[in-house]
Amino acid sequence: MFKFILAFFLCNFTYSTSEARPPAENYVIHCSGCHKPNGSGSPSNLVPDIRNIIGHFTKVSNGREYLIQVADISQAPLQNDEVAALMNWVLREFSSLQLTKEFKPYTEEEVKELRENRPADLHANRRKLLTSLQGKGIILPDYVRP
Amino acid sequence: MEWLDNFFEKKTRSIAQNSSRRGALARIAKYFVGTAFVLPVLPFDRSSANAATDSKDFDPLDDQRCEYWRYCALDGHLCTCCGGSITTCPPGSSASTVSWIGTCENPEDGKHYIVSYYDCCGVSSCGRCYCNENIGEKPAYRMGLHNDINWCMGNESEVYHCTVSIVLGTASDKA
Repeated sequence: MFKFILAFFLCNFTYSTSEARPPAENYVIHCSGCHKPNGSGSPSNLVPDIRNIIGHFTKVSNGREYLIQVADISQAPLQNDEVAALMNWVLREFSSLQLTKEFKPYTEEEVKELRENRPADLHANRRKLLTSLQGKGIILPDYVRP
Repeated sequence: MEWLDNFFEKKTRSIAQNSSRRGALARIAKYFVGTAFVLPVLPFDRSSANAATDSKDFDPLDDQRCEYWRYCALDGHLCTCCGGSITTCPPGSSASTVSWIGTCENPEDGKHYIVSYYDCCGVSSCGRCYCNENIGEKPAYRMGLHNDINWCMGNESEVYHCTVSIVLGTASDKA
């Protein structure tokens, strides 16, 4: 039992001090259970399909912020630099066609700032985003709970 | 040898004359009823008998045992004991639309692998080979790393049958 406890603390120690995992691996470990390895999601569980969709969020105001502040990203057990690398990888891997030339990759500082200042009602934000996107002719499936 | 016959005849007759057959039955019955309350012969949960064993004398590649390395974070019935295989659901059941992810070390090569656990749904609980392995498992507020919930929740039928384990790839040595 003592060995187990020791191993547990050592693991945590190495986890917090070692180099970050590659983003593709973090995607598999922290996201793919619900979003699936290919990004198709699971509409019956209200898990959105992110393929050729998630990049649209970077085109409207607050969209870029929303992608970091949404619960499963901002509360993921990952360091800020890992979250930045993960989201940059996800956007390019699953939705590169929707990224504009103006898109700048997320940085560790930006992620830190956004995680620390989350708005109270993210669903309201999301509804506004969907309206803004509709104004640009982009209609996304609505997964918001009633 | 006649004395031997006489001896046993005498003894048998004296036992038959001096003892009560119903009394013997009553004593035997008391013995059974008495032990029922002293020893745990009545309903007793033995489901953990296979789950927790320190015995090392088993085949480490036996995929019908909880100790098989891929099951290091599996909580449920093994589909290999329920008519399925390590990666396929038994006939009649369908894989859950979402899954949960664990990282297990393969003792064969010492590498860590990312394993995805899918529940098979739509058929009543299999009941065989129950395992409760929790390496890397986290409480429910880390739902993606929590194995006590029913991952059939988004399926047409939410009835849980058994669990399969699919290796998604290798992990860095930072498990």
